[in-house]
Amino acid sequence: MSTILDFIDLKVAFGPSQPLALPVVHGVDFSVEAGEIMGLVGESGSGKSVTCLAALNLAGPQAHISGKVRFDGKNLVTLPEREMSKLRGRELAMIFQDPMSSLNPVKTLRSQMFEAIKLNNPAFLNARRRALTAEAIRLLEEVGIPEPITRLSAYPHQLSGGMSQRAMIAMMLAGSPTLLIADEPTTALDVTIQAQILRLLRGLSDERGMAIILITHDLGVIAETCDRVAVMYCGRIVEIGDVASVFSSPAHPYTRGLLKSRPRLDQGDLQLTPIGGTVPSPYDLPSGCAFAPRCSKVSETCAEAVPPFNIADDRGVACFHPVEAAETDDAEGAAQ
Amino acid sequence: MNLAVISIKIFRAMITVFLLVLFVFVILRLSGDPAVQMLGLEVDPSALEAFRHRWGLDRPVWQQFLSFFWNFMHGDFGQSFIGGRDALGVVLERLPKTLWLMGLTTIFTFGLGIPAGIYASLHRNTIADRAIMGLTVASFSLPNFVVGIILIMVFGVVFRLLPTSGSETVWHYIMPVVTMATADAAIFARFSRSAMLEVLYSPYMRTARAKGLMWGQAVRRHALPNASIPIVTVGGIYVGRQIAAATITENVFAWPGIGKLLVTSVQTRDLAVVQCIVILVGLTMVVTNLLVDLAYGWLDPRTRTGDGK
Amino acid sequence: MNSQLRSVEPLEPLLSVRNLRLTFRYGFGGWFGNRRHVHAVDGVSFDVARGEVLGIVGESSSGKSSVAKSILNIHPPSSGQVVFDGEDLDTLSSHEWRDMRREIQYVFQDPLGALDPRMTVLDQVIEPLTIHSIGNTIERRRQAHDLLGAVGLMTESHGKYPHELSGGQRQRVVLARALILKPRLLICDEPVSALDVSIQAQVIQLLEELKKTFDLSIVFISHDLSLIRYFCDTMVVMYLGRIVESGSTAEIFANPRHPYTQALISAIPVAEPGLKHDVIALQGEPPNPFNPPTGCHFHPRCRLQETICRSVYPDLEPVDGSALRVACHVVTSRHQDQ
Repeated sequence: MSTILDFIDLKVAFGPSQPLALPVVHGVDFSVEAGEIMGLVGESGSGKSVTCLAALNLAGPQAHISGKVRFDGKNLVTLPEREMSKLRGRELAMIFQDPMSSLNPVKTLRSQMFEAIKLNNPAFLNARRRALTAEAIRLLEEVGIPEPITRLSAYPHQLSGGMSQRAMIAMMLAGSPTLLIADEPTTALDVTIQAQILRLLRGLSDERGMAIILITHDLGVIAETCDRVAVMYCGRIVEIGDVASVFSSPAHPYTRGLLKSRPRLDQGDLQLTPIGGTVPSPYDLPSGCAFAPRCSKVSETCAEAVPPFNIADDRGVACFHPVEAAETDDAEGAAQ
Repeated sequence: MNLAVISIKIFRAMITVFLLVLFVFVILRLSGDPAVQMLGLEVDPSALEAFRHRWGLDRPVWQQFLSFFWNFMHGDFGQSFIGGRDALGVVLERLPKTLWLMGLTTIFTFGLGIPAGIYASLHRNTIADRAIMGLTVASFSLPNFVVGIILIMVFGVVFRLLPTSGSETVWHYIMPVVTMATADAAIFARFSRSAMLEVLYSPYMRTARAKGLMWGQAVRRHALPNASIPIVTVGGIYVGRQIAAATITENVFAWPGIGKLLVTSVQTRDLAVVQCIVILVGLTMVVTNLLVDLAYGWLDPRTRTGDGK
Repeated sequence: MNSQLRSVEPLEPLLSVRNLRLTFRYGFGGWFGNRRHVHAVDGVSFDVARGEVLGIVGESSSGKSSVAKSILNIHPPSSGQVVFDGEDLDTLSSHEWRDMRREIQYVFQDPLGALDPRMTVLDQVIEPLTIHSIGNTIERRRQAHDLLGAVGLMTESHGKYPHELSGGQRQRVVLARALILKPRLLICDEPVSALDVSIQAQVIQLLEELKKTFDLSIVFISHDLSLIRYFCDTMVVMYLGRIVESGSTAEIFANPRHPYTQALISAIPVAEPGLKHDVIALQGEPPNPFNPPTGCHFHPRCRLQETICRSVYPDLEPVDGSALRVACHVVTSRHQDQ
C-alpha cells in the first residue's frame, strides 16, 4: 500500500496575525494510504475539520498553517494558490456537512454539475451541452440518484438532504479524485439516509480505489465504515490504528471513555459511563496533557509535559499511562 | 407565482394610488384657500367668490372629488389656475428635466456606489475598506440640501466655477447630480458591502473553492449572483422613489423640473397641478414596487412556489 | 437502565393522549382558498404512566416535535384529547394553563436559545418561582442555589451568563429552571443532540438521577435510537405524523415488527467493528409532508408492500397479545394467521 497523503507536524492557528493567533491544531502526524478509508474522530474543539481544511488551504484567511502536508511529491502547505486550486476538485476532493446550504441556491444542479465537469475533467474542457449532460447523468447515476435527467433541472432547495449530499458527491467525483475528504457528511441527515450515504461512500472507495478521510464524531460510523481511525482531542491525535484493534482494545483513556459514553450492550445490560468534566476551550488549555483533568489515570507527569506520540506496529498512542489490553474496566471511571 | 397572487398585488397597488390621491385632494382643500393664494387678500370678496365658483371650490369636497375622478378616468387632470392651461401638459413639459437629473443620478449612484461596496467587501478590514466606510457615513449623514448649499457656496460663489441655478448647459448638471448622488451612492456602497459579506463566506462558496475554482472565479460565479438579489431589489425601489427625492435638490438649485414645480404649485395652491404630480409620483413608486416584487420571484428560485420542500 | 416487565399499573396514566391532530395550513392557493395542508400530527394516541419514561422516535418530518408542542399548547391541537392527571387540557383557560405549567415542563434542543442572554444563571432559575409567587426572596435564592448544585453546576458558575458556559452546562441550567417548580411531567425534545458525545452521556445520567429524585415522568423525543433504548421504558415510533409501532423499549429492540422500525434499528451504526449486521437499506426518499403517499405512508419504501397498503391506512393493532402494537397490514395479517 502506498501513502498518498502525509501529515507531518501540521499546526494551525487562527487570528489576524501570526503572533496573536490562537493555536487550534498543535502538531498532527498521520498518513493516508491509497484506497483506504481513514476515520478522523473527535468532539468539538478536537481540530479534526480544521486539520483537513488546512491541508486543502480552505481554512480561511485568518488561518496560519505550518508543518508539511505531502501529496504527490509536493508540500500542500507551501503550494501557491494557483496550483492548489488545480489539485482541488481533481486529485483532492472534499464534501461538507450541510449539503443543503453547500450548494448554490440560485443555480440549477445542471449548472453546478457542468461547472465541476468542465473544470476538473480535461476531456470535457470544451465539451458541448450534450456531452456534458451525458457525463452529468453518468455521475448522478453512480451516486444512486433516481431520474437524473429531471433532477438536473432542479434547484438545491428542491432536493432532500440525502439527494443534495449525493449530488455533492457526484460533483466532486467529476475529476476522479484519489482522495475524498468527507467532513461530517451525514451528521445533518436522518439515520436511514445516513446508512445509505455511508454505504455509497464505501462502494465508491472500493470501485474507484479512492481513499477517503471520514471526519465524524460518531464512533459507530467509524466502526462500520473505516479501515483505520485517528482519535483527536484538543488539537492533537491521541490514538491511531486500525479500527478493529482500536475498538477492541483502546489504549488511550479518552478513547476508552468515548466508547463507553454511548450506551452499549455489555454483559446483557445497557451501560453508560460518561467522562467527567468538560472539553477545555482552546484559549485555556491545561499545561501538559489536555485530557489530564478528566482522566482517571492521571499522575504528576501528565501535567508537566505533553505526552509524546508512541507508534508501535501501526498503533499509536499519546499517553503516559496507556491502558494495556489486560487491564479491566474497574480502573476506569469518571474523574470529577 | 400564480395569477391570483399577481392580481391581488395589482389590486392592492391600485388601492394605494387611489387613497394617495384622495388624501392629497382633501388636504389641499382643507389647508388654505386657493382663491386667496391666487388673488391675494386685498381683493374684493366678490372676486374671491367668483374665483371659487369658477373652479368649483364652493361645492362640497366629496362632490369635487367625484367630478375630478370622473374627469381623471377620461384622462383629464383638470386645469392649472395659472392661465387655465391643461395641468397634465404643464407637468409633462417639465418632466424631461427631472428625468435627466434622475437618470444621471441613478447612473452615478449605481456606477460608483455598488462597485465601491463590493470592493470594500472583498478587502474587508483593510485601509481601503475602512476609508470607504468612513466616507459613506459622512456622505449620508449630511442632508442633501446642506450638501447642495455647500457646493453652491464653494463652487458657485467662492470659486465661481460652476453655475448655481438653471439648467441650460452641461455644467449646470454637475452640482445637482453630485448633491443627489452622494448620499445615495453612500447608501448603496454600504448595502452592497453587506449583501456581499452575507454570501462571501457561505458554505457554497467553500464548495466552489473545493471544486477547484480560484477565489476570484468563485466570487464572480457564485457570490455575485446571490448578492445581486437584494441589491437589484433595493435598486429597483430606489429608482421608483427618485422623482420624489428630486424635489429638494431641484429647489436648492432652481432646477426647472417637476420637484420645483411641485413646491411652487403647493405654495400657490394650484390644485390641479399638484394633484397631477402626486398621481404621477405615486403611480411610479407603486408600479416600480410591484415590478420589483414580481422580479424577486424570478431572481430567487427559492421564492417561486412549486413543489418546494 | 433496562425496563423490566412492568406489573399492572392500577392507577390512571399521568398523561393520556387520544387521536391528537395538528394540521398546518400553507400558502394562499388561488381564489378558491385551496390552501395546502400538512398533517404534522395525524391521529396519535399514547399514555405515559407515572414514573415512566416514554420515548418518541422518528426522523425528520415524523411529527415528533409537533406532538410535544401540541401537548404544551404551543401549537394548540387541531383536534384530539390530551388528559393530564384526569384533566382535559383542552378545557383550560389561559389562567389555568399558567398553573398547568407548574406541572408540565419542557426542555428543548438549543440550550443557548432557551436562556435569556441578559440574566445570570441563578436569576433564571429563580424567575419561575417569582412568577408563581412561591416563597420569599431568601427562600427562592436558596432553592435555586440548591437545585443548581443538584444538577451539577458549581457555585462559582451561578453568577455567570449563558454565553460564558459550555453547552452541557447550559443544558443543566435549563433543566434546573424546568425542575424548580417541581413538575410531574417533563417533556424533552432532543435535549442532548446539540451536545458533544461525552457531554451527552453526562446529561442523560443526570436526567436519570433527577427522574428518581423528583419522581418525574418523562416524554423523551429523539432521533437517537441508542439513547431511547438506554433511557426509555416504553416507546413509540413515528412516521409522517402517525405512530407505526409502540410498546416497551426492550421488546421493540429485541424484535421490531414494523418494517420501518426494523430499518431504523438496523441503520444505527454500532461501535463494534467485527459485528456484521445487515443494514436494511430503505429505498427512496423521506416522504413529502405536503404530498404524502396514499394508504400507508410508508408503502413506497417498504419491502413488504402489498396492494392493500397503497389504499388503506393500517390501524395500530396489538401483536402477540402483549402491549406491543404495530400499524401494518402485512404484520397484522401474519399474526392473525398464526
